[in-house]
Amino acid sequence: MKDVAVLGVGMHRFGMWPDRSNADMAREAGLAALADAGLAFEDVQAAYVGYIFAPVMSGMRTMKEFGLTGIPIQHVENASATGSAAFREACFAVASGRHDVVMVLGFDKMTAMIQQSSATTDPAWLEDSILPAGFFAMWATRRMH
Amino acid sequence: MAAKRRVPIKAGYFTVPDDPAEPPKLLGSRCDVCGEHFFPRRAICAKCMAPRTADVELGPRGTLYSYTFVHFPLFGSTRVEHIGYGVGQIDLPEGPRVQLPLAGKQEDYRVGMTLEAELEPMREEADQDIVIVRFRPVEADR
Repeated sequence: MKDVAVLGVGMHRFGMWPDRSNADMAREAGLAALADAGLAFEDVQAAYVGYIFAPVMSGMRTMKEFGLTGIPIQHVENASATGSAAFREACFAVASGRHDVVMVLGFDKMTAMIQQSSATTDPAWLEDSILPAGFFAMWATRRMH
Repeated sequence: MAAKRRVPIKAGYFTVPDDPAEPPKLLGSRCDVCGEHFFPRRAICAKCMAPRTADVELGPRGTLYSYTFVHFPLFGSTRVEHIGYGVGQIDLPEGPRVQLPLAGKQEDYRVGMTLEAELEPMREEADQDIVIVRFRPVEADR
């Protein structure tokens, strides 16, 4: 396995951005990461994109913001761990020698998420009522018991 | 007024007894080979991997393993009593630890207390009550 390094990072400022699309925010973050790394998008050989509440194939559409170079784009969704799971897959891609330079991109608009998820849809199962923070809270309750 | 017919929010997870006073039971599985119980139902035993399980009813009582309180409307419910709700992990006597909403107030819950399953109407639909299952602390244990 080859060593893996993070060459650059970038982000869009956190907050409520009703007038900015996922693509707008992701483009700003990605361009900042490329600038930090001193790389051009042509150097990127593959992309790993994470989000939860944007539509299917949003990662593909968002990566087009950087250019149309024909690289493979892999979507990764893993709930709260979406970003770290995308990062892990990118690390494996480099460590295995499959790629030399890859980009990891994560985005979501959490303000829109709450409206969508709580509307009238039935739960997959009643465990969904616990919500992510609730699972960690129950863990804490038991540890403090 | 006659009681509305009660329909589970999702079929295959809990019983809806004809008698409103009778608590519901959870619909689980027991492995034909090793005897381990599961909830929800499984086709393949998660312990010994045998592909033979039987449908069984679990509960209706259990022991509270942990809990918390969620300050958010339950599944977007517009009923004022659903604005905040308890959730818990409940150990059933058959073995499974289930994770479900709790009835009662935030200060009602204690690790180790006995709870019993009950049905709660979430909303009306075509003159039926759509019900969920939740666990309520039994009076003697509060």
